[in-house]
Amino acid sequence: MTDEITVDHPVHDHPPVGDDDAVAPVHGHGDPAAAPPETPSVAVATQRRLMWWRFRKHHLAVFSGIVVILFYLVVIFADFLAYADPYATDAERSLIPPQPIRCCEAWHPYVYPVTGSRDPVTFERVYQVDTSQKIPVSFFVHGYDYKLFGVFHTDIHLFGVEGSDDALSILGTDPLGRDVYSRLLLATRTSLTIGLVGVALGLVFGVIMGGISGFFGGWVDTWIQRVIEVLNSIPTIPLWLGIAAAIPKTWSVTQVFFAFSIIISFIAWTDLARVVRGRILQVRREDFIVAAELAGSRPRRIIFVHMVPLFTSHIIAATTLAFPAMIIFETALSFLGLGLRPPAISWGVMLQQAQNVEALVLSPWLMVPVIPVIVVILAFNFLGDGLRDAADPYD
Amino acid sequence: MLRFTVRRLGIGLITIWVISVLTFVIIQLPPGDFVSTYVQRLQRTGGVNAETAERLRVAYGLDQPLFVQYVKWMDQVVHGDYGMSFDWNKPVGEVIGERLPLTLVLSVAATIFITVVALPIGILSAVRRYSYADHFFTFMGTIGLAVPEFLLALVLLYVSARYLGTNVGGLFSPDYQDAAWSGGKVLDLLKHLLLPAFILAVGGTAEVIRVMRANLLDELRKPYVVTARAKGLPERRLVAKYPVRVALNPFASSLGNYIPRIVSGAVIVSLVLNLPTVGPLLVSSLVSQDMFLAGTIILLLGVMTVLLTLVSDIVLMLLDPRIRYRD
Amino acid sequence: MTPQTPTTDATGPATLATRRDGAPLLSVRDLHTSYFADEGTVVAVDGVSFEVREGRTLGIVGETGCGKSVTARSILRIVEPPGKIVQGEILLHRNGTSVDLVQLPEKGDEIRAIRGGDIALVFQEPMAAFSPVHTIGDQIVEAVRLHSQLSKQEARDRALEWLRLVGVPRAKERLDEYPWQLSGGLQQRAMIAMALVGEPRLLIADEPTTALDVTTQDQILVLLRDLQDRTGMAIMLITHDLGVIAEMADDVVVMYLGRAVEEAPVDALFHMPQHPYTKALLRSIPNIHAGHRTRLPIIAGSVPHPYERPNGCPFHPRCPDAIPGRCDTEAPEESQAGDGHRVRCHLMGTVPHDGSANHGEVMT
Repeated sequence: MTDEITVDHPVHDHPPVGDDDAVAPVHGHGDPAAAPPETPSVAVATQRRLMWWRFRKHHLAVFSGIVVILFYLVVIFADFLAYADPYATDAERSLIPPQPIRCCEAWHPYVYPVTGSRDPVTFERVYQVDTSQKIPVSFFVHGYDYKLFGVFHTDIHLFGVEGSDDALSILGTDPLGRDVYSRLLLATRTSLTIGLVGVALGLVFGVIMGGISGFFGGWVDTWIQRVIEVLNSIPTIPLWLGIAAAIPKTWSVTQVFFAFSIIISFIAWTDLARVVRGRILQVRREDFIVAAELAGSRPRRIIFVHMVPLFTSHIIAATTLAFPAMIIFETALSFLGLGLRPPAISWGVMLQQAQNVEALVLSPWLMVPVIPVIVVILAFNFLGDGLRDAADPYD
Repeated sequence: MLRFTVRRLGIGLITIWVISVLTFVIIQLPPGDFVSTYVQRLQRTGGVNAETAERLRVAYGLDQPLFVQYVKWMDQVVHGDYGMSFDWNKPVGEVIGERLPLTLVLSVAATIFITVVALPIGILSAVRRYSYADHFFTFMGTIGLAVPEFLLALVLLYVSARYLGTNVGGLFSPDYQDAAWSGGKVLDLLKHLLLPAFILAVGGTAEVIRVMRANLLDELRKPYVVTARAKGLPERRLVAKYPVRVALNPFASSLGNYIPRIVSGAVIVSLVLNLPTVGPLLVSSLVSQDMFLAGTIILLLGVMTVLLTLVSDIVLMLLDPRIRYRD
Repeated sequence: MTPQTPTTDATGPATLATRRDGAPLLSVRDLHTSYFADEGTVVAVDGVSFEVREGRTLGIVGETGCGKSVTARSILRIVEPPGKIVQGEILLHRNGTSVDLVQLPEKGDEIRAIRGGDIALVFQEPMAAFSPVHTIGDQIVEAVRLHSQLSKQEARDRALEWLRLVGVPRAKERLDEYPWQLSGGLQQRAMIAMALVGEPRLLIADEPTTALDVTTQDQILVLLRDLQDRTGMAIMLITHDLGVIAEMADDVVVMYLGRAVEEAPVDALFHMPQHPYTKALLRSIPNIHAGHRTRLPIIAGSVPHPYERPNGCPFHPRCPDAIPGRCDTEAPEESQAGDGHRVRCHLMGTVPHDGSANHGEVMT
């Protein structure tokens, strides 16, 4: 039994043409650049390509990603997209119901003017829509002043009524006469920015704690895990309510904003730390890490060059999934009056006016911030799910 | 088994201690020490003299380091004295009164709701994977996860007020509100509990369905299921007896982990629906900086959560012999 | 079926309806099983035929992925979706009649009675094959009661007897223990007991010793042989280990990529292998008598990806004697190479380059 089989027969590649058996994707030995996108050359694709392909298969996740991008475009262009000064109060225009833009008179969309008066008996404001007049709505009109990107002074807005600030109220007005639509845009900016800052802070802290936990192991790991376990068993909302309530009322809006972001970030870090730690523990045992250690690489090189690329995608996924909690939290606390306070505008602050059920029945449009909240949360959830699934291309 | 119980108890006690420290910090946060504030208010309404003020000062150790103050406060709490509520001018214990047990009832109701709903749906989803039912429930589940409870409460409140003409707030009908406990009152409570429990349970149900489905799907592929089938067991019986039973473990575990969120949610939802639980009281006391009341509520909520979690841990232990025999 | 008490008598109860005369017990004819996944179709079993005979041991040998496990599951109709039996017959012969298992409804009562009652299955990983949250006794008793009318207590006694029979010490205590409290060898014994309480005529053992250490492996094999002597059951032994085959099997089927490439009585297979794959397998067994620093012979190449089955003969890319133009276009038919010895190879009737004798005649 000492004879060998000579290895002079190369493995044959079999072109799929004429093969009436199973579907055969292009064999990995081919040239990857030549592989058509429909039949990916799975065996030789780079890691990032694989992840992108997997992500693309999740249509819902891709759609959600687009939604998120759109939302952040609103964040950047909030003032441009608005037409009325979100801070300008006007008692005469309190609680106007939504006035839709109609189409079209001489190629121009238009709205009907609304006049208000006080009912002599109930002293409530009532509004009449005057259908005889048509006020044209145009694009790129001059409106209130603002700073585009926080730098350039301008007063151009995407659409509006030229020459008049208060002819439009497509989502109605609030009890103080402020246009709901414009406020909604600015609220989006605030809420999503706080979410971003909170997540960023939570990310930094989470990655550090998770990294230390996973990398050093031992009793450091055990202690940090215990801390996380304890924190997770505390009902968070009552606790943070208390802390948020302790923010002095004398602080400026910006100060409150940042203090709040820091508070929120404490919610996110435990989940992120857990993900980071989990990945590090998984990765540590991989042979190539051991090889790097044996070759004499220093810990810093091992961490940054070898490990970090492996779990960046997981962290991105986990971070995306942390957004919803942030947003819910800010909205909830502001809604209760314990978070951001007027004159700051956020979804929660706007919803505060919807607390009274009787008032709500009369002016349901005040609830409109509920919609972007739910949409954003759904979008981040789907996006995060898709990213998480795609993060493990070798699964 | 013993080690498991001891460990969970230990963590529970540590958690309670951490909560007490955090609560103490919260109490101390508003500027000025509370006794002075308290004394000021009392003086405004005319009810205290320098002697009482001094006595209070000593009792709370205000001239001593924070650490000592903490100990003194904890000492009183353990003996059942939670301090005075400024707003209500009554001992905190009295103000809280019935509200805390009602919060407990609401939380437990939500937990039961989740169990009863999520378990069968999760099983159905896994066993009939990719069917219409599965897709439908997965979709509803995702929506459920996304909608925050208090917003749901708000919307439902509006809907019921506008279209049904009723106000679904409150846990009791007007007749039973201040009446003594009776069978009728209990029934009334149960009727009114349904909606708040449902609202609280929505998020948890979605998450637990997801966990159950994922775990059951994993278990369904395992060799012991194939063995059972190869033995000749009918399909339904074998699914119920084996993989479901094993998947109950992570189910109970995830439910247990969700308990803090249920308690948190109860606070906010009861505010929106104006239920006579601890929630509205907490918020109003925080807004008016009635710190003893606020702090005590937070502390008691924390303790309640830890106890509920402990109960769920015990259930977990009973469910899984591996925990009982090993570590 | 009246409950039989297995005795410790070495000849076994004569009233059990098994014979040792080698009459056909199970006939698999042209079985095709495929998995229909989104990414493509995997043909797992591609036209396999063989016979299992009463009281004899059939060994099925092949590399991972050759379809041997899927064959076993097809027999019991427990192929998991998206797998499906596409074609073929699986005839169970009993009491003078034959039942085609492929035609039976998958979730029906008939096939369920056969599972564990006529044909039983034992797995590779005994630890994973038991439920971790039920006791051993619970699981074995369940098997007893599925195939008999015994009361709970009687079933428990029966379970106890079988545990003792398979050599589990302190069987009484073990009944109330959980599977993870037992060692690997004991778990395997318990699993064998659980499979046999229904007194099946055929035991399918799918890699029963792969997860065990060598000493335990031997014990289990001895146990299986012993039980076969007692009960007269047939064994279908699935493995990749030729040593196990040599020790246990009476007849052998060699599978590659879902096809049975050679079938022979065990001696004929080892001494007169006909198919190039069989020959290569035999050559690759490490030889304790080999000279110093001899290279271990290998089979060139690797098993093709399941989505890319080669045309013609599945083995031809790795076959040193492949005939270009024939082996890569035309699937070989079955030819007779001796008594009970069948081969699927185009080389039958030609002289291969390694000089080994070829006794076959091509059957057209």
